[in-house]
This record gives sequence, C-alpha cells and structure tokens, in this order.
Amino acid sequence: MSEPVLTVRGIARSFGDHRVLADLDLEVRAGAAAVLVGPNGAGKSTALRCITGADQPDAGTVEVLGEPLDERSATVRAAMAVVMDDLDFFPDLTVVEHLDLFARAHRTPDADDVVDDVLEEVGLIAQSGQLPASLSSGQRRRLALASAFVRPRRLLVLDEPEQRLDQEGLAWLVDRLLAEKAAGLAIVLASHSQVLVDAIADDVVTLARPT
Amino acid sequence: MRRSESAELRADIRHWRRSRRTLSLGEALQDLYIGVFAVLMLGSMLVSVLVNLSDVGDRACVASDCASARSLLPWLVVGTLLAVLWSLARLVGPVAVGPGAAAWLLPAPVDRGELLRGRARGTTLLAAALVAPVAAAAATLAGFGVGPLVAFTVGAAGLAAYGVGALVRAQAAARARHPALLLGPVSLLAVGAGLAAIAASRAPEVDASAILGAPALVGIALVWAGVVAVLLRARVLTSRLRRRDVAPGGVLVPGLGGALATLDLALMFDVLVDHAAGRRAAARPRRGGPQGLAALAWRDVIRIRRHPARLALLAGSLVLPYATAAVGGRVVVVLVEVLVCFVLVVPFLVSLRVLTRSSGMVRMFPTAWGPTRAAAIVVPGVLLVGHGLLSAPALHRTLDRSPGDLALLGVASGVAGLAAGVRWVTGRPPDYARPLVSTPAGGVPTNLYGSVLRGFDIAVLTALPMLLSPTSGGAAVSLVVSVGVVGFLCGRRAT
Repeated sequence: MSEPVLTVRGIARSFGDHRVLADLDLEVRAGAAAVLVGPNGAGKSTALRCITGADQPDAGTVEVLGEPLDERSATVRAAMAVVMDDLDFFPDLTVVEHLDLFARAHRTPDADDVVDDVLEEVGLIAQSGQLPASLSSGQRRRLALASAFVRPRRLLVLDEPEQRLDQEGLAWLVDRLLAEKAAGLAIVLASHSQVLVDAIADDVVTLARPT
Repeated sequence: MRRSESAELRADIRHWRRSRRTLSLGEALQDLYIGVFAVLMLGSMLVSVLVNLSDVGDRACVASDCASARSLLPWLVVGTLLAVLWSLARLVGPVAVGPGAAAWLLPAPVDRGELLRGRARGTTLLAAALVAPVAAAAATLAGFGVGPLVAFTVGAAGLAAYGVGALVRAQAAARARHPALLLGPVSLLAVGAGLAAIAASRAPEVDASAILGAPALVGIALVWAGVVAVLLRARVLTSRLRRRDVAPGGVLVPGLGGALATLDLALMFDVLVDHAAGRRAAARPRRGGPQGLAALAWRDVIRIRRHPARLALLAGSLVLPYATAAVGGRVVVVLVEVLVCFVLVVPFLVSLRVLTRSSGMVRMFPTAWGPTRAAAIVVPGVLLVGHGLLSAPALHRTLDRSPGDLALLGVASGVAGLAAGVRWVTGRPPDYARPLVSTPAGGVPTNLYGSVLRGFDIAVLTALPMLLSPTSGGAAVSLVVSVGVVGFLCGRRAT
C-alpha cells in the first residue's frame, strides 16, 4: 500500500462558542479519493480550509507528504492544488494568460501544450482571449478548476467542484477526477453531488451539523 | 390598455421617492444647519487664506521664473481638473442609469429622451459647478483682479460643461472614435506642455487682463453658447442612447459610492479596474515568458504593452520635479518626486492588489506569501527606480551635490514612492468587527479615517530623511525605511 499523502488527526475548529468541526480524522493515499459530505454548515469547507492551511485548527494535526502542514513550505505549496471556490482572478489577464501564468509559475514541462489541452477539456478555447469579468459564472468555475490541472500536483483539494457546472461539465469533471486517481493523485473534496460521490469516492466522510 | 407617457413615468418616480422620504428638504436643511454654518465659515476662512497667500505671492514671487509659473498656475490647475473631470465623465457615461431604473425604466415604450434629458443636463451643469470654485481659488492665488477672476471662472466652468456636453454627444453617437473622447488626453497634454515650459524656464508670463480682451470674451461666450445648445438638444441626444451605453455607468456609480462611504479607497480602485475590464471584455492573449515567479513579474510587462498610456503618463510626469526645481523648489523636489511616484505607480500594482485581497490566488503559486507578492512589485519597482534616476538632474539644479549623491537621492525617491504605493494597495479595509468609536454619524471603525491618509503616511516618512538631510546619508536612511516597509507589507498575510 502507498504512503499517505494527507493525514489528518483529530482536527477541531470553533468560532467563539460555536463548534463547527470536532475531531476529524482522515487519511488519503496516492490514487485514492476521500469525499466530505453533509448538510450546509456541517463544517466541510472549514475542514478543507484547515487542510489547506487557509485556517488554523484549534486542535489536531495535518500532515502533507509526511510533513506537518506549513502553507509557507514550498514542498507543500508545490504538491497541493487547491480550488476552494471561484478564484479572485486578475481582472486584466485573459483566460489563457491565467493558465499560462500558473503553468509557468510551477515550471510545468511543455506548458503551452498542457494549457492548450486543459483549455480544450474545460471548453474554454473560444473564451481564451476573454477577461474574467466577461465570463459567465459557469465559465469562471471551469477556469478555476482548469487552473488546478495545468500544474504539477500530488494532492488535489476541491470544495464543491460541481457548483454551477452543467451536466456536460459534471460528466467531464467525473472523468477528469477518475483519470487523476488513475495517475496516482490523492484527492480530497467536499461535495453535494451524489453522482460525483458515487463515481470517485474511496472513502466517504459524513459530517453532521453541530447541535 | 393605454400606454404610459414619459411624464407619467417621471411622476411615478417622483412619487416613489417622495413617498419613501423621511424628511422634507426644509427639515433636512434645518438638521444640517451646523453643516451649512461650517461650510460658510470654513469657506470664508478659505477665501481669506487664499487672498493672504496671494499677497504673500505678490511679495515673494518676484523672480522671472516664479512669476511666469505663478501666472500659469490657474491654467495648469484648471487643465488638470478638466482632464480628471472629463475622464471621469467618460468613465461613467456621462449619462448613467442605475441598475433598478435600467431594469424597468428603459424597457418602457416611451421616448427615452424624455426620461434621460434631465440626467444629461444635470451632469453638464454639475461639471460647471465643480470647476467654478477651484478655478476661482486658483485665479485668486495667482493674483488675478476681480474682472479677470470672474471671466476666468466663468470660462473654466463653461469649458467644463461644454466638454461634458460633448461627451454626451459622443455617448449618443456610440462611436469608438469620437473627437470628444480626446478632450481629457488633450487637456492633460496641454498641462504637460505648460509644465515643460516652466521646467525649461521658457514659460511666458501670462497677462491676466488679456482674458478681458475681446477675443477671450468672445471665446467664453461661444463656449457657453455651446453649453446652451447641448442643454437644448439634451432630449434629442439622450433619445439615441442605448441601454448598454448608460447601464454600466449606473452600476459603477453605486459601487464607487459604496466604497467611498467606507472610505475604502483601494476598493474604489478595484471597482474602477473591474469596470474597465468589463468594458474591454477581451484582449489579445500573450503567452510565454520566463518560468517560476518571474512569470508573475512578466505579466506586468504584458500589462504595460497592453496599456502603454500608463507608461507614457509616468514618463511625462518627469516634468513635475523639473518644474518644481525651476521655480526654486530646492529640496521640495524630493517630496514632489516621491508623491508623483506614489500616485502613478498604483495602476501598475494590479497583481499585488489581487494577491493582497485574495489568499486563494496567493495559494495558486508554489512559493510563500512574501516572495510571491514581491514578484508583483519587480516591474513597478524597476520603473520607479528609473523615474527616480531620471529626476536626479532636477535636484542638481537646486542642490550642490555630487552626481553619486544625486543618483542615490533619485533612486531613494523612486523606492519611497513604491513603498507608499505598496502601502496604499495592501491596506486592509475598515474592520467593522473591531471595537467601534462612537461618533454622531454612528459607530466608526478605528482604522476608517486613517485609510484616507494611507500611502501619504509612508510617503512622508520615507521622504523625511531626505528632506532633513538631502545627502547620500539621508537617501540611505530613506532606502532602508522604504525597503523595510515594502518587505513587511509584502510578507504580511493576505486578507
């Protein structure tokens, strides 16, 4: 069995007196996918924010590739591709310039080819010269997802990636995530889509709304 | 079913507004009496200060260069104001319709001109009302007599209104190229030419009384005739406006108003940048370039190629330190250079702004906060260091220093401007979750009023060592402070 890419031990998070997350354990290995499910307010996004370092848990530990999570660590940043929500894109860069930037910042080999392939996959070839402000909300979502696929990665963290995708987009996402798993990627995502959960989850973690 | 007339719709709007008011105009004015008194009192004090300053100018400004520059002052002030005003008017519309009205008023099957003419007339006259007091103040400072002052003020106000009226015509013509769209840039070029003449000590001393001559008075009359023509034709012009001509400005104005209400100037910048991007919609993509974080810096090069006017403005702004030196500004040249760099670097810091307001975007890069955001200031920094170096000869005119000292002062001024710009762009918005200070206007976050001074504080802090000691030592201290400020602000966690 492969080494765990992500190990979460007993993380908890409260906002004031309001406990959002309690004692969450999670282990994701290469080529496997863990899906967080639960109603709104159950703490899925909070858990993902703690896993990516965007938020600090009150208790518990997060390890990425065997190292304690430190979002400043270049190793962690290079290994972890995150799409939490719509990105706050650069308003004056076009769709393809965003992807080109991310690919080159991560020194992706054959960046031009990778960007072209991903653009075609997400159906944004025709919009490659558009600025983000002129994209529809679904297209912005596709661009945010595409930005995770133009760079090298070992762990993919997605928060409700199915949001605002049409049926065709959802089908593409399922195929893409299955391909990512087959390529040995570890995936953690939160989702309300049963289709997505059924298709890719190796481990389903159900979070309940705190009482 | 009978169609509504435009007059009925206007009456509906009036009724809707009046039915929701909580005060009559008289009651509002009664409540505002302290404000009215304050305006009157401060206004009269301001006039007194201006008159006294004018007297001081009469006594102190006797050298030929200074007298020439002083005689040009009102023209430069009004020219700059007109350029800003016309650019803003073009950005907003000038005729704009808010989202609500755009949704229900514009689709109504009535003459659109009847509904929008008031907005065109109001905007045109507002331009005149905004420019008149500034023109009068500048003319007072320049020592104009009463007659020339009145003529100058009336002319400037008329020019402002005429320009906005021409922009209404351009909006109605809906052409990408219309002569009126050049008004702002032409006005700015004229100001630049005036400053260049001062910098070269070739500025003529303008005789204020010439404005009372027949040609000038005829010109002013013609300008106002043009304004009256626009006001009379407002209905015809606005009836040609399409929804897409007036709706974007109607979205922009409340956005800017909301940001202004919280004194979040950086948010206003975001609104303006987003608005410009929304209007542009697309651009010719440019790919390639270096890898790693240099790729982020390279995007600033792409931006400059896409918006060369920003670079041209930065280059043109070099006349300001030279003009300051020409009128005997001495060490003040340093402060002017720092402030120019501060104000003009902000449009080059779009990457840094996004990386500040969005931790998600910072996380897209494989490096820590500090290096990622530092990459976003490499190109602006290089530009400002170049600007500072090119401004060094201006210092040479007023300070007897070695070329090395002057170069270091120039570089330190540019970097100080960068530090102030970074401070402005990375400022955190007012935090209403913090303890609030009780004021007559309600609870106010402690960092609200400070946000207005943001950037200027660092500009003064970094310029101070050079102002107190315009030597390589002062420049070195300033550089250390600036680099420290930039390092701290770039390394700070995104909001």
